[in-house]
Amino acid sequence: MDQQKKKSSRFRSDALRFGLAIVCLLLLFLISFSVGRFPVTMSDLLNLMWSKVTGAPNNLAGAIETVVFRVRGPRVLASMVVGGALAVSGAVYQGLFRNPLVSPDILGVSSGAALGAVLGIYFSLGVVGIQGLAFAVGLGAVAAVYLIGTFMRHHDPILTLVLAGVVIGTLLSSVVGLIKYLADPYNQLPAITFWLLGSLTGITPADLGAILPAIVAGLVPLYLLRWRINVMTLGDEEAQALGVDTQRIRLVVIAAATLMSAAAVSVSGIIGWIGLLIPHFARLLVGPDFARLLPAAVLLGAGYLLGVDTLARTISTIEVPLGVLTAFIGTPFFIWVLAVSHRAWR
Amino acid sequence: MKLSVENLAFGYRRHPVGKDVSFTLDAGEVLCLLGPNGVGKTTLFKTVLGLIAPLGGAVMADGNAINRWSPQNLARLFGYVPQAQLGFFPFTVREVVLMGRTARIGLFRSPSSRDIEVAEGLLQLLGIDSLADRPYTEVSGGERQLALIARALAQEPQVLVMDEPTASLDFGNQVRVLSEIKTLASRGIAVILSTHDPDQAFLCARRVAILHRGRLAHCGPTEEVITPTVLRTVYGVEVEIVQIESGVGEKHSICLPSFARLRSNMVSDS
Repeated sequence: MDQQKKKSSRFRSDALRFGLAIVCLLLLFLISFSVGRFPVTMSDLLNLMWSKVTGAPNNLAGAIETVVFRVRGPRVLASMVVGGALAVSGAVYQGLFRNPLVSPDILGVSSGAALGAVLGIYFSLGVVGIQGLAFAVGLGAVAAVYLIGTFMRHHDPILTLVLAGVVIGTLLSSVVGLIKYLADPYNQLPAITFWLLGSLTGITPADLGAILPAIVAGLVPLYLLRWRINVMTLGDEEAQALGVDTQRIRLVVIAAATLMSAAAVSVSGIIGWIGLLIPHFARLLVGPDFARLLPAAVLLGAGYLLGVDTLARTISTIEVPLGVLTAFIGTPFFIWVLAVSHRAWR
Repeated sequence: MKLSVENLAFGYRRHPVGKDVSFTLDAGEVLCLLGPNGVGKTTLFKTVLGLIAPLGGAVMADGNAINRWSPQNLARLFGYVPQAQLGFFPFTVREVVLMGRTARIGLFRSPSSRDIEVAEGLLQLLGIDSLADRPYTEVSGGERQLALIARALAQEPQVLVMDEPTASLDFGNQVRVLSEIKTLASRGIAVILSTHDPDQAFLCARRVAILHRGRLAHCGPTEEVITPTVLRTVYGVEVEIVQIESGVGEKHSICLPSFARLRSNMVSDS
């Protein structure tokens, strides 16, 4: 009886927190459609969405529909998808590597994707080519790190992976540096710099369609394995002693999280901080159990990047690079989380 | 269920720790492993549990070598109580105990209400049900140890392997854990535990094994193995074994260190 009461109150407080996060995300969603160089009033926006849902005719200017559905729509959705994906993979990596300072790029995803994209720009490939290369080289870098890790069996597997990730990441970054040095300073270098700072400008529905399947394909196994991931946070030996096939689960989980972050980075460029910061915030909100942590990370990551991207395109007449803004907002935020979450890690 | 360890060599390829370790353990039996610091008791346990590959020999359960068993099957055979560590993420004590159910939870599932029931029962059994909703990272070392014992019992194991289960406990909890070990054994669980306190072997184990210089120096009935001579060779101290009779007429042996003789030995050594 008492136990049931406790359980239902726990359930209610979780439902309240998730409800609050969803309401905030919805508000942000509406605001982000209405603000920008071509402002759309909230009533016009709601009218337009209502008519789209019901199929009723509306008497709004066609320009409004173009701005909302063609210009802002893909970008708003992409920011949510990319933010959610980066936050989830950050949460998973932090759990798996038992390290609160780990972010999705710990195994070299970002530096691999950066090298791929920079190569694409250097060889003047199209957008599709650049994104494809970013995705492929990002995955390749992680595969290389993982292979190095499996060859060094006599060390702690987690530590070996992290160290291999750092080494490979540094190597790839120096190749990126070399290409920047060789690139045409008038055409290619600005494009490279812009990509490396992260941006969702000019994202198309096709881009979104290309990354969405990869991100869902990563998210589904992570959610299914939620309990096994919880146990993996105890460390390799304890998890194995409790019956987890650690080698196999680790491989699947790393592959899934990497797929998500590589897909996200391939269209957005390097956006730091989300994968580091949001998991802490989500853990503060709903605790470390992945059954709740994953949905919380999706919601908060989506909301955070949506908010930051809306700022990036509205605070000034020129686009502010996302990577710069996430760092500016993320740093004080992270310090605050560090201060209040003395128990999020030991 | 009969567990037999046969000529086990353990350690790491470049750093072997011990060899020729053989013992058997029947259902309902308690075996206490003694040995000085750093002799490799934890490494031996991890090898028996299948967490570290043996360098030689085998561990058999009812005559079947277990080295090819899946982690899931091993976790149903062995419950493991590691030395209490600080947790990493602030899982609640209840969630930590629930993790013991993992080998009985489907790959894609979360704990069922039956799993939660088992965990609640064990929390009560070990007297930590009031801590169930507290973060594991915030309770005391002794409470963490009790949670780890509950977690191992949640595995519903046939063999319980406990690595210094009383090391971080206060006197009351030590006594509670030792008495719990006897109860578990009486229910048919085989228990193997390591300890630094020979008195605990007298209290709860019928048989004792002593790991010394990489070998099982002695293995046999507690009263025969724990003698002043053996303790002197293994720990380098002088001890008297005193027989006493408790109020209810049970005979007991306890170890009484002799400081005077230790001091005179140290003088004569130098």
